[in-house]
Amino acid sequence: MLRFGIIVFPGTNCDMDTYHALKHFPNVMVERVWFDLPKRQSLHKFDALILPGGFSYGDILRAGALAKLTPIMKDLQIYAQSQRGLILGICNGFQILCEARLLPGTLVTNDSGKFVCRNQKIKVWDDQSPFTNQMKKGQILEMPVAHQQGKYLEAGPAFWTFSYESSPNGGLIAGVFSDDQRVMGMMPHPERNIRPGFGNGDGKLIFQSMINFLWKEKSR
Amino acid sequence: MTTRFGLTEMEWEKLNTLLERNPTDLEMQLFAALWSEHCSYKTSRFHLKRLPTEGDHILYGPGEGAGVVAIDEDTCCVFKMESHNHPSAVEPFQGAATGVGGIIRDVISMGARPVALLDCLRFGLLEGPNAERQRYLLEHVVKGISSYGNCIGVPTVGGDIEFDPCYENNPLVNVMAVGLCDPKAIIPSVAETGILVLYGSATGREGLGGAFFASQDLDQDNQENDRSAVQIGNPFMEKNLIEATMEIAHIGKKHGWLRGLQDLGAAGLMGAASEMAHRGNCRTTLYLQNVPLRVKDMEPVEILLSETQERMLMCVRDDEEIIHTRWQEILEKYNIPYAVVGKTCNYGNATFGVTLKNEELLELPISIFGEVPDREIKDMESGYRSPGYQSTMSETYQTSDYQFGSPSYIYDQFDHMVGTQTLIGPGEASAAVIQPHGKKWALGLTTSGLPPIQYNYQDRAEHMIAQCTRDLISVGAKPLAVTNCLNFASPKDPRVLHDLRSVIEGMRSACLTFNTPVTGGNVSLYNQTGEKGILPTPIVGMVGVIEDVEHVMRPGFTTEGHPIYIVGSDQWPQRGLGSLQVTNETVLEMIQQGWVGSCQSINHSGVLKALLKSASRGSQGFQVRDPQLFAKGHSYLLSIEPQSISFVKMLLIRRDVPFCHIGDTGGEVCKFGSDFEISLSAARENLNSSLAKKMLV
Repeated sequence: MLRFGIIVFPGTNCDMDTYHALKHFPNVMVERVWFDLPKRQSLHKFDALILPGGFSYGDILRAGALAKLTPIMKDLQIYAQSQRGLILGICNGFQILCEARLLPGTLVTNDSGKFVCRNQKIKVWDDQSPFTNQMKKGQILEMPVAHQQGKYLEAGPAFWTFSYESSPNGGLIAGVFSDDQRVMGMMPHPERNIRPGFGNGDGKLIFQSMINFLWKEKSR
Repeated sequence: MTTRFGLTEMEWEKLNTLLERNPTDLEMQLFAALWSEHCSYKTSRFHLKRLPTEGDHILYGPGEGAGVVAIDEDTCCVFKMESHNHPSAVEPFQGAATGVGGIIRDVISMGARPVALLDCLRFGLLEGPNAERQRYLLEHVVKGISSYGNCIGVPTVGGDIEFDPCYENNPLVNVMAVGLCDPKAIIPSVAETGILVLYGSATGREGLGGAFFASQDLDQDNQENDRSAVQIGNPFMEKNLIEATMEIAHIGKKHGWLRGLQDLGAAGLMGAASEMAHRGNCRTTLYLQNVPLRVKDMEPVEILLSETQERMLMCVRDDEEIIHTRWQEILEKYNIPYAVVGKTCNYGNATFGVTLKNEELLELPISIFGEVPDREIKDMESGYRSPGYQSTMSETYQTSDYQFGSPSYIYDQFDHMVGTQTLIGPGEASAAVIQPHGKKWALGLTTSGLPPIQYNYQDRAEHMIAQCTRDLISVGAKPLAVTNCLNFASPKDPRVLHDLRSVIEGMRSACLTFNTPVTGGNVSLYNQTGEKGILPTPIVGMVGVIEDVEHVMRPGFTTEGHPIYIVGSDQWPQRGLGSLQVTNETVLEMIQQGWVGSCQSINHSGVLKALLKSASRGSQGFQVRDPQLFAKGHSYLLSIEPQSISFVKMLLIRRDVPFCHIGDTGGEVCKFGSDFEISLSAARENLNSSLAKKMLV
C-alpha cells in the first residue's frame, strides 16, 4: 500500500475532489490531514503529500500568505528536506509552496484581473521526473484551470514541468519542480480530469507517475 | 398612510388588537421588519396559495428553508431560489456576493451539502446612453458571484441572462442553490427544550433595515443612504460555516443533541429566533448581552434586526458536559465565534422574551408570530401597459448579437468544475447535469425566465415552465420540481398585482400538467425606480433526474449525415399543454432508447439559433432546406441515428406528435435556406465571444 496524505487548511475546497480522484487507483490509501496536527503526529508515515486547490484562509492578503504561517508548514519543510516522499501542490497548493519557498518563484494576479475557469492545453517538458514518467516530452495534455492568481513569475531559471499552449493568465509556465524534483507545483487541476465521462482522463497521468515512482523507490 | 417605523395604520391596529395594548417602540420596530413585504409576503401570500405544492416525490414544500425532493432511497435534493435585486442595484459586487451566501445558508440550514449554484441575471442594454452603467453592473455582479461562489467551493453550473431596457435602473440577480443529503438527516427549523446557540460572524450594524429596504422602491437620489442597508460578504467565514454545519448536522442528528437549525436572513436574529420558537410553539428567552458584537453600543433593536451575513442559529439539548463539548469542538475546530444566546422550553406559557442583562425588554405570546396581516391591494382587470417598452429579443441572427449564445465571458469567471460532479457545465447545453460521486444517476438543473414582452402573462408563464421542462428533457432528465423568484415592480400599481396573479395562474396550470410542484422560492416586489418599474419577470429553476447517466444527452451535432428533425408543435396554445407533455414524454423515451444523436430545446429565439447552437457545440455544420416551414418554439431539435429513423417515425406518428425532417448534419458550413450561410468556426466564435466583445468596448 502507498499512503497519500491530503493537507486540508481552513478554506481548502478541492480536498474531497483530490480524495475521490486518488480513489481511482488501486493499492493507494488516502487520508485527509487537517492542518492543525495533533502533537506528535508526523507526516513521515506518508509516501506522498498533496496540497490541494481552493482558497486556504479565503485568500486573505494573498493566496497562500496565511497558510504558510501555520505550524504544519514546518513539518512539511522537514518532510521535503528528508526526501522521504513526494509533495504535489495543485493550484492553491502551488501558491502555498511558492509562498513557503518550497518552490522558487511567485504567482501573481492574472493579466485579465479576473478569475478564469476552463479547459486548457498544456505541454510536457520533462518525462523522467517522479511526477511525469508516464508522459512523453512534448506531449499535449488537457487539464482544467481555475484561478485568479496564476501567472507564474520566475525567480531565476525554474525547472519547468508544463507550459500553457495558450495562456489563461498571461504567464507561460503551468508547473515547476524543485531542484531535486521531489516537489512539484502546478496551476491546472489534474484531479478534475480523472472521473470517467468528465474529461479525457489526462489527469491520471500525474498520479500514475507518482505511484510508479514510489513503488520503484520502495522496491529498491 | 404609514405610521411610525413603517407600520401602516392597519398593521398598527392589528398589533394593538393582538397585544391588547399599545405596542412599545421596540415592538413597532420589530414588527415593521417581521411584517415587511420581504419577510411576510403580505401582498403576494394570498395568490401564492394557488401554486401546486404537493407530489409523491416532494418531501418538503414551501415553508421550510428550502424545498426537498426525493431522488433515491438515501438521497434527496434540497433547492431554492432567491432574489438579491435591491442590494445588487446599489452595490453590485456585495449585493450579488451576499445573494449567493444567503441562498447557500438556506440549503445548509436543512442539513444538506450545497453542490451547485445557478444565476439568473437581467440587465439593461449594453448599448445606448446607459451602456456604461450596465457594463459596470454586469461586470461587478459577475465578480461578486465569482468571488463568493468560487471561494466557498460550490460550482456555478448554469443560469441565464437577458438584456432589456426595463432593467436599466433595476437589474435582477436571482440565485438558485442546490444541495444533497440523506432524507433521514434533514434538520427542521424548530425550537425544542434546550439552548439557542448563535454561531458565525459577530453581529454588526451592516444590513440594518435590509428587510424594509427590499420592500420599497429604489430612490435614485437616495442610493448613498441605501448603501448602508447592503450587507458585506465574508466567503471564508461561509466556507467554514458550511463545513462546521455539515459536521454539526451529521453528528448532532446521530447523537440526538441537535434540535433545530435556521440561518439568519431577513430580520436577523429576531426573524430566525421567532420562527423557530413559533414552529416549536416553545417558550423562548433571548439574552442580548451574550450576542457577540462587532461594534460597541448597539441598541437592542439593532442587535435583534441586524442582517450581518454568515450567521446561523441552532437549538441544542442542554445536557451539560458531554453534549456541549461536541458542538463546541466542531465550532472551535473551524475557529467560528459562537455564544449561547437563549433558552427554550417546551413547558410553561409559550412566550417569546428578550432580556438585556437583567432588564426585560420584550414579552410576547408566541402565537403572535403566526399572525401576518394580508395586504389587500385591489388589482385592475387589465395588466397591459402603455406602450414604451419593446422587446429587443430578435429572431434574426446577427453576428454581433450579444443577447444570443453562451456568454463564456461570464462563466469563465465562475469555478464550474469544483466538486468534480459537473458532467455538463455552463454553455454546453440548455441544462446543467450534476453526477454525485458514487451514484449512477444524475441531476438535471435549469433556469428560465419570461422574455420581457408585453403579452398575456398567463400564457407566458406556461411557456416558461414548458421551456424549463424541454431544457431538462433535452439532456435526458425527467422534470421533478420547481422553485421560483417572482420579480415585479411596485404593487402600489394595481396592474402589477394583476400581472402577478396571471403569472401564478399560468405557472399553476403548467406545473400541474407537467407534474412539477413548486417547492418554494421568493417574491421580489418594488423593482421600481420612480415611475419606471420592470416588466413582470418571473424566473423559475427546475430540477430533474436522469436515472442512468448512460442516458445523458448533449446538444452538439457530432456525426455527419444524421437527419435533423423538429419534434413538437408550434401551434401554441391551441393544442394545449397536454400535447406538450406528450411531446416531452415521447422525446425522453426516444433518448432513453438510444435513437437520438443530439437534442436541443428550441426556445423563443427560434429554430436558426437552436441549429447554430447545436452546430457550435458539436463538430458538424448543417444544411436546412426551407426555413419558412418550421416551428418557432415549444419544440425540439433532434438529430436522429440513421438506423433508428423508422422507429422514431413510428413512435411519433403513434403518439400524434408533429415532426418534420428539415435537413441533415455535416460539413464545415451552416446553411439555412438559400439566404443564410456561415462557416462553423464563425458560428462558434459568435456564440462564445459576442458578449466579451461587447464588454471590452
